[in-house]
Amino acid sequence: MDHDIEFHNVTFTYEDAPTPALVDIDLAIKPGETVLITGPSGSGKTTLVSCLIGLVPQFHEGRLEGKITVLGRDIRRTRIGVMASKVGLVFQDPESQLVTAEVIDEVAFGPENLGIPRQEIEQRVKDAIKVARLEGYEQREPINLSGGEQQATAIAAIYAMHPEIYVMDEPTSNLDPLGTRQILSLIVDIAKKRGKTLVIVEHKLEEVLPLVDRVVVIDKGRIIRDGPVNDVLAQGDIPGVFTRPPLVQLADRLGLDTVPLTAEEIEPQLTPRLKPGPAPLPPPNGIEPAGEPVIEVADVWYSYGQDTPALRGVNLTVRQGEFVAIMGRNGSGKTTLVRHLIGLTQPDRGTVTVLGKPVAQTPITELAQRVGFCFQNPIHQMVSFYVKEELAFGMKVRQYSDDRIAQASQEALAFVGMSDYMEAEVMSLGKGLMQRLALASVLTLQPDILIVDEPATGQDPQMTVEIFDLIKRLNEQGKTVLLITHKFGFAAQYAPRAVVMNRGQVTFDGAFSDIVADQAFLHTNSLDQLEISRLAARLGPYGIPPWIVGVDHMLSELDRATRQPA
Amino acid sequence: MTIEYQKGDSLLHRLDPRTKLLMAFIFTFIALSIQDPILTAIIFFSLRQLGIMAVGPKVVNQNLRQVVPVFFMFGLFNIIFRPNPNGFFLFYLIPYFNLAPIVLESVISGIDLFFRFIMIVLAVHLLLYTTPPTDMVLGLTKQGQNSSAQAIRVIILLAILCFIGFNLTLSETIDHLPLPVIGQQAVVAVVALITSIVVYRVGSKGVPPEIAMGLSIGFATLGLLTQQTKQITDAQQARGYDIRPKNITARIKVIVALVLPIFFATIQRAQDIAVAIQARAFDFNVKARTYRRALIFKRMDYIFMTILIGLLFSGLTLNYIGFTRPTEQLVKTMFGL
Repeated sequence: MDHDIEFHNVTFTYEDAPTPALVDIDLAIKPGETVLITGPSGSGKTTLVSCLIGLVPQFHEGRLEGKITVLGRDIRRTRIGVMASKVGLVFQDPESQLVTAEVIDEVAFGPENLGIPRQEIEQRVKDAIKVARLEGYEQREPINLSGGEQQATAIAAIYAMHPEIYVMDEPTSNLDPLGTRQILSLIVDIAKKRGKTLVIVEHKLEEVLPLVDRVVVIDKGRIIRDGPVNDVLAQGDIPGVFTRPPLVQLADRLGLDTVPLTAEEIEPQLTPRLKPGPAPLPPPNGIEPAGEPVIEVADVWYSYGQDTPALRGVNLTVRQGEFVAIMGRNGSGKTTLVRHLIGLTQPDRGTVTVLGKPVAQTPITELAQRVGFCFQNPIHQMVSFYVKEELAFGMKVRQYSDDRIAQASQEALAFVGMSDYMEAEVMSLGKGLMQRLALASVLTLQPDILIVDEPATGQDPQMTVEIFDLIKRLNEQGKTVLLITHKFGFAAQYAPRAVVMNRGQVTFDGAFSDIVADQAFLHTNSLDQLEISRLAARLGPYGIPPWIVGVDHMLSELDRATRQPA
Repeated sequence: MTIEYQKGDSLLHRLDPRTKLLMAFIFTFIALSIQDPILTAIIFFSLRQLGIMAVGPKVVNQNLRQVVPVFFMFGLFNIIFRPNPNGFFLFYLIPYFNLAPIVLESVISGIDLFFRFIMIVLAVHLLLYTTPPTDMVLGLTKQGQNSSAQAIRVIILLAILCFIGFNLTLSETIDHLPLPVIGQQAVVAVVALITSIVVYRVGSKGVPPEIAMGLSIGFATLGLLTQQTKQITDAQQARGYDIRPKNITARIKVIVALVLPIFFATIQRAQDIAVAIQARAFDFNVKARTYRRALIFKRMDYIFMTILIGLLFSGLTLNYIGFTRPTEQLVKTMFGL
């Protein structure tokens, strides 16, 4: 057996699906290899990894052509349980795969299924909890853990089964930037420590590329690139499918003969071209004094139970027409704060005023008219069967005329670029479309303020760009926007003003340029400095300002600092 | 407040889930066998004290309070509508027409009825408060094989209990058997043995692991379902939907608007779980599945069970010797009736 995983000419079509999910897949993965699978949402990545334990085609039925062999077994002829004893698969959404009432039971569940003797289970559970850094969490309820803790629990649960192959399907989609780095290095550590094969599906290339040996790019069910990291990167971007990390793009556009993944790799290539320059100018203040205050939060405290308060004296003022990005680690109180703005949560102490009205005395039905609220998970926001009804929901409540409903629905759908989907079923939409529909449904009421809670969860980079562009356009039309996000790089490029929360308090409120270079501050808030900003900071002696977040900005600054030929 | 598991480390919490399941079960029979208000009140208040030690008075009272009016009505109905024709007349509820006579015996049995019902409810509450759902399911699941020596011991114990129980409860029927006394007792002994073997077989078989797992996952995700319902109502509110309207038709509409999304969420969740447990090798070999948590009876369990069985048998004995209503007799003696 030369390979752990072998796909021979595999085409798979889900039952009732018009087009195949996988087309002519040929893939062979050697024991001990660490492989990244990437590609747009809906390109077939999850289908591919589901084949590895036989979920496809045994559980998710359909037509499978070709042959898939995993650890020498034909996945069509082996029970899922037997495959799963050798292949540890962690799914994208940790919440949906936790099935017991305590972390310790969750970790023991797999080994119990394998019939491991009680004493050995105890040992394995102990080891797994230690490796996943979950000591002290043994008796906690999985559903009440933060996203990162849930993800760590799911990984520990698989680790305790001692699989030969680890498979991780977007393990970091719900995590804050630092949590992402920690979970990724945890996964790679675990697999490497045991010398096991690791297949990881991920969109976050900047974080994951330094950790893997090989990259497979999938689009529309086909493998379009496959090879060692450097080779795949050297072949350039594929629009809408594969966007290389900013540093690689930078090197490419400068014509450097390197594929840098970290600031340290590219720095020595740049410094000879640059001339030492004056210290960078102080950061420009990106926030212009804007209009009237539309949101005023004064000394707000809130707690969900006897635990430590979720909000501890938050003060925040947002003015008409601003675009504010709210960031911070998982569980820092971001969502709790914005829930107060529409009255879904009422403060224990303090006051919230929105558009001049005290929220405590204003019914939600009234606030909802002027404040559009998009929840983190668009599925949680859907209240109807059909796109048409979903759009009309808020307007029907207000008894708008049919003509008006039809017109507003049409406009909103056109704005998000989904005009063709008016008659579609809500549940048949993919993640990206559903997110855009959620936005459109909120826009039908023409709100003055738009609150969007993490629109990029589980979205591929292309969709993330699209949704951020849409939000930006709405802001330019005069809407005040509050955006919660973990996408630090995006936020820094789109929103001028940053609000950072930590443990229920606002720890920073100001221009992005003040924090992009402050590594210590970013780390304490579980944010992660962008590689391009790290590079900028390292090039400080050459007059490169440290608050650079985009490739274009970096190029123009480099251009300015380049030695003129004598 | 929902009746759900409360974390803790009290006497009740430490008992084996099987003991507590037995408790809830036996209390039904205790309630049937003891018919005296003072005795039932004493048992009820002792049980309540145990509950307070376990989860505090607030939790115990809060949920119990909801059933008090119902059982109070039961007791009242018993007093009004079931007067004992031979009982001691107290007064007419509707005096001028001499309707609805109130009789002393009915008053006493009405109070007794109230305590009997509420005792059963409390026993079930305490089981739910102090037993994590997963443990409860584990208590119902068959784990490994019992040795035959242990099986014989348990069967003999059960048979002796059944033998005494039959003699106490069915003495009239036994007397009617056309046999000498020894023969009657032999028949009772055989029936007791057969009963205990059947009970043991049923009891030791337990629930198959697939069903048990279904139950325990169900319990584990109840919280999640509540969360999902909240998410949906939040979403509706955020779109300006009034989820607490004043008139009834609008309220029904609200519920209908909730049904669809919850239905979807539940289906989705069920699908997710099916995938999740398969990915963790649940169908690897279900029969050979092992369990990390070992359920072992401790001394306290045996003491507790002995007390329960003791109570049951005292009730049966009181019935047997015809001393069923000491309070009634006491009251009558006091007033020289």
